[in-house]
Amino acid sequence: MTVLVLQRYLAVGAILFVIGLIGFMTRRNLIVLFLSTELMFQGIAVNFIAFGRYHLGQAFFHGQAFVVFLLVIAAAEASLALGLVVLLFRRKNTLDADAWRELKG
Amino acid sequence: MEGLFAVRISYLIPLLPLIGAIVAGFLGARWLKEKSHWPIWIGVGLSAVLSFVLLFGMIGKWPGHAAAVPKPGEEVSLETRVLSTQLKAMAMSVNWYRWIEAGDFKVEAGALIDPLTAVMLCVVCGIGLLITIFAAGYMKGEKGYFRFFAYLGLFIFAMTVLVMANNFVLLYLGWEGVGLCSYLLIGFYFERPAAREAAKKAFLVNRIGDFGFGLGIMLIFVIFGTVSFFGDGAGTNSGVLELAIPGGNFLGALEPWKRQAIPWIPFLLMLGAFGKSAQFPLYVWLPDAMEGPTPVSALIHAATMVTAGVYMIVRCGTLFVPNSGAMFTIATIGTFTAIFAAVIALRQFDLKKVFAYSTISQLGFMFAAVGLWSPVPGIFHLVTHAFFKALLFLSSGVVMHAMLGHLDMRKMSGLRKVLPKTHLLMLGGCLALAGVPIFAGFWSKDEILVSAWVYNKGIFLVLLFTAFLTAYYTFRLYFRVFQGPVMVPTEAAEGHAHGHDEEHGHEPVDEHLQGQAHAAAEHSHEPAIMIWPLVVLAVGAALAGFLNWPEREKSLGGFLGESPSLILAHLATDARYNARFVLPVPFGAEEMELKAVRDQMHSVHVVVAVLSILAAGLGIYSAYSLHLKNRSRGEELVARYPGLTRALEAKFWVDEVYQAAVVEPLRGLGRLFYAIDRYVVDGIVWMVGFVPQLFGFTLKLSTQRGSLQGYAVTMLLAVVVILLVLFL
Amino acid sequence: MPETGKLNLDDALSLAVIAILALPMLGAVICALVRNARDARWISLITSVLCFLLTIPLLANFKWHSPQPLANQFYSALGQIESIGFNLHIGVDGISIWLLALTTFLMPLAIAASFASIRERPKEYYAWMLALQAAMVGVFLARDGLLFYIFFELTLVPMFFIIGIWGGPQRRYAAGKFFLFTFTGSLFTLAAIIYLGLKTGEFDINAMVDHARSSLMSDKERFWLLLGFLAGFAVKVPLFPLHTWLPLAHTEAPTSGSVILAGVLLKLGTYGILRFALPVGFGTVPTVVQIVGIVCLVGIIYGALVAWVQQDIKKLVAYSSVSHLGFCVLGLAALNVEGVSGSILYMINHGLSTGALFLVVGMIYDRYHTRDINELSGLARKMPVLAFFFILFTLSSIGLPGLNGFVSEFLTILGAFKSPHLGVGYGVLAALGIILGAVYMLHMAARVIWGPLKTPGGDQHGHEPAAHEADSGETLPVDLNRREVAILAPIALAVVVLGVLPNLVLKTLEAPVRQLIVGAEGEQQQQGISKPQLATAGER
Repeated sequence: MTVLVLQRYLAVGAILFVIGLIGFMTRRNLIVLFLSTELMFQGIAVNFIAFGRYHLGQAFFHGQAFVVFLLVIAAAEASLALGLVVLLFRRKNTLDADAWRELKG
Repeated sequence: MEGLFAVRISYLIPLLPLIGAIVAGFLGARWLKEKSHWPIWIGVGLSAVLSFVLLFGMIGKWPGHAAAVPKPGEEVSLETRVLSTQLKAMAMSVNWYRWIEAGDFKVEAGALIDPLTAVMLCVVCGIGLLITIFAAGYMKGEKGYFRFFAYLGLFIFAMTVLVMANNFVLLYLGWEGVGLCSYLLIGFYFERPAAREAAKKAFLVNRIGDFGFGLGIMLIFVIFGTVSFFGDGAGTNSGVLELAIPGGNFLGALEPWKRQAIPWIPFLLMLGAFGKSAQFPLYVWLPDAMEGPTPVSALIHAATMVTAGVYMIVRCGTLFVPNSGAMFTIATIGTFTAIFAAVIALRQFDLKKVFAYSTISQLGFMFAAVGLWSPVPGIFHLVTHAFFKALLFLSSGVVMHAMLGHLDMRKMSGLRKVLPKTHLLMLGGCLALAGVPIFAGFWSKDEILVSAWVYNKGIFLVLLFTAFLTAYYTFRLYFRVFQGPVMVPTEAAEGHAHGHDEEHGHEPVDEHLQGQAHAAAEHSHEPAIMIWPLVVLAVGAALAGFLNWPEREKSLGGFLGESPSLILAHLATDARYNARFVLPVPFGAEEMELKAVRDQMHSVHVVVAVLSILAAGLGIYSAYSLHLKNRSRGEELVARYPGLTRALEAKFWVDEVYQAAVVEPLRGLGRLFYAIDRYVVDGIVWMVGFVPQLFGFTLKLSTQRGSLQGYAVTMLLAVVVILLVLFL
Repeated sequence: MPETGKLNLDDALSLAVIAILALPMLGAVICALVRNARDARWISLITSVLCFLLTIPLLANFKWHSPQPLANQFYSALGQIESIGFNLHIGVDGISIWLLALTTFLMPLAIAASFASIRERPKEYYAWMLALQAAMVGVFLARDGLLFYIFFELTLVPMFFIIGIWGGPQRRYAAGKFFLFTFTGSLFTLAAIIYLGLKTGEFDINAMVDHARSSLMSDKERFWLLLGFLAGFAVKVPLFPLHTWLPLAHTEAPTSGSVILAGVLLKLGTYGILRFALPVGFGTVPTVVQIVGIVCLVGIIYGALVAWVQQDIKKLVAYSSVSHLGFCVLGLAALNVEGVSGSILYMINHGLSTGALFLVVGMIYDRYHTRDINELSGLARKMPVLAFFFILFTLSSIGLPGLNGFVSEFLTILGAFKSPHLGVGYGVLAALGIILGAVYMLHMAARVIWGPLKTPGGDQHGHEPAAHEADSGETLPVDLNRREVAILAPIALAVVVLGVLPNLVLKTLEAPVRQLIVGAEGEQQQQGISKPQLATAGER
């Protein structure tokens, strides 16, 4: 029973991750790319909680704690990234990722 | 010995001049100024007093003959003799403090007080004091007056440490210390490029010698496990010079490689002695050293420092004597240097250069003496030479002072009338140097010639011929400068900075046209402060020969013979030559007790004395005929041998050979290494850095295109590949 | 931590050790934050002087005759990471205390020396200097291998910026080269430390060394460990083929940067060899020791000859360091008490005399803005005080007996001479360095100090402005001013004192060095003697 439950959660996580991944591969818009990475994050977060719950039971909250940690980081990172996106947009008036190919160095 | 007051406070002998030097050096520039000589006068003066108190105290304790020396042929086992505490009746080692201690390497700062040290101290401090007094007059008004005296004080400090040291490392400290002072004083007029080059040369040539000396000390330590000359005197023979006696238990128990290495020691030490005492391959610095002020030439480059090599070899006799090869080398090099330098001196025109080569030559005599293991004649000659050579240098200093800085004997003549007092003093010095009887140089040179006669007739002949040359070049100088028609230079020499320029620079031209003698008389002051020290030296030059009068109860030789260095070296020869009597005059009275020996020696002495008087007379006569009676004949003689003249004037091109054979190749090597450093060594490093750069550059062109999604695909593929590898 | 009010001496001294490490860190932060440059200067100077003052009671109260000579004293455990055996332990022992004293002694002088020459971004400069001090002090205080390594690498960062921002025209290149060279080498050292630490189970230096010496380790492992240690430390020292970063870094660094670089940073390499390479592998792998010895000899002679042909006097002094450090490592390779004690003394002496020479060269540069040997001559006439110091430090550098350089030089050569691993030939060749050392140093002295007066500013008769404008706008007199004399005088005093009384240091080194060596000697020679353990539970 529990095995089945775990697999379901994992499936949800994997689906979220793959959606994010495909989004990241196919879209050009910087904000959408960013949203896609957030989706991948959430997929991983689901995995964390699922594994934590599965392996450690109800007494421990390592998985949940990690996710909270992850969310905080993601939030900080989001503010930074969106700020950057705004700056980039001001430079070139476009959100196309390919517009910044010259950054390859 | 312990009871002597002067022994207990012996540390003051080096310390006082050092304090004087520090006071003069740090307070001189701002506060003492023209009074900067006072700290040095006081410091060196007190040291001189202490030295003489020490010497006379020791003579007072001395019974008058070397009681401890076993009679030749007497059968006493070596160990008993070495252990005999009587050996140290006249010697004492005082440790001041532990200087260096690392593992087994322990070095005390301490003094060895024995007759040899006492005599050397008196020479150093006594002559040092006279010269510092002279210098106060000579250097008056110079820039850096205080500096000069600070250096002099430092020098006396280093020199006293050198002769007082009771171990090799402290000796080395004094050794390098006097080298430093020599460097600073030669370069005293540092604005002259010649002075600065001469100073550098002196230091570097000495460093070559010190390289050998330092290695010698290390080898001594590795073999003997100590660097002290003698043990602590409490019945143990733990000092190097005691352990080194052949046939002793210590040498027998050594590992084979150490026993084989022992013969190297004297050769290494010898290198140091050759450098410091300006012997043949390493003499080149001494003539150039005359760039220093004249009192320095007198003190350092004639009387004291340059004799350090002789002192060192006598001090370490035990290490040298058993090694006949080393002894022969010293004697040969000494003899060769004696004649070589005398030949160069024949054709020098600068007064100080003549005396410089003469010093080298006389040092050669001393080396020949110690090389034949006649330490007493060697030291005796050192003492008398200190007197008359200092006198000669200081007199030529007076001449230079009066002649506006000129020292070229072609520019002056007949100074007898211009500088009457100096003339007499100089004459005394010349007679002593030429080896005219009564004067000091005769007696000491005679003793060296006697040793040479006994050991090696070849060396004897060369030295006798050198004595002839010495008399000739000495009197060539004397006749040219002091006799004949009056001629004095009128233009101040370049770089002459004795304050004359201000006093006499504006002399009207017509005045000196009236008569050169008159103008010269105006210049030539012979101030008392410069003359009185010379008088004392002249008395020494005349009478020092009687110090070692063989018939005296207490002669210099007998006194020196009480030094443990000489006694142990005597034992070392004994052991080697199997009690054969090989020493003519090292122990003064003691040896003379054997009647047969005395008679034999007496006749030798007479023969040698007659021969050397003849040589000196011949030399003086040739000088007289070529340089006074008929000066043009001398020039004709020179013109007849142009090649030889050129070789002599170029000093046999030795400096040029050194430059081309040593300095330039090394410098070229330095440039080559620098090029290697920049291009090869760094190039290899650069190559190492270049490879990853190239790799990265290629990767950048091929994979890094700037497409965000492209990177993501690459990452994804990589993850897939990794997973495949991991799970399949 | 002791309770307040019941502070006994040992605890107070442990606190002092912590303060020596913490004060510069704190000072660095404050320097970076204060508003004006003047404050930064004085804060940094006061901090570094305080550190030096704190060192004095350490020296005074150190138990030199402790039965375990290499045991840590004034020890404090600041924390640990149990899972990897990393301990934040600091303290000093009989060897590191001298190098600590050298660092805290040189640092105030180096900071005071920058007052006139650092104009750009002074606050950052002083902050970096203090950070550098903290890192260097940390190396000597660290009792833990990893901590040692952290501080060892941490010194690179401030030095990188000091060279890269305040250096000469090629500063960027020099800083990069300096960083890359030393960093690359020390990665191998890190590997060696980690390997040894994991094998030991902890990273305490003494415990690591004990483990490496014990029979638990094979000779092959020791060989590789030795190579790892040498890779990092030899670059830092620097030994012969790896030295090319040094002249460049020295020439480009600002004066005080060069002083610290020569005075202390190079000693980190020799200290590392002493601490790790020597006890771990020198005795068991004689071939490597011989190779090290040969490399040292090449460095001695090569460095000296290259120094001789330099035009830039700072570069000349820099190459002289290559030569001198050859002696220093040769003494370590000799592996006997004479050589190793001499080598430790050499570290101190070289720090003093070469540091001082860089200071003097910097003072000349502040006035004439050139270091070209052809453009300067006869400075003794104009600057007698400077000439005095210049000649004094030159003499110290060429090993004149009576000054500090002699004792250590003599002992290192003697050590090589006596050593069964090296031998007479090494001693003879090293002694050649004595001659060559005098050659290049006196060459420089003759050109710069002696001779007819020549300076780039004025004509040859010395008609020059009576004062010079320094970069900072401070007016410099023709000769040294009081600040400059006050910088040089302590070093001059130390140079003389260590020459006359070298036993002050040597005596204290005997026991610790003997213990380091006894274990390092090969098994064969030490049969029957139980190896002493460096790590002692009692003292910890």
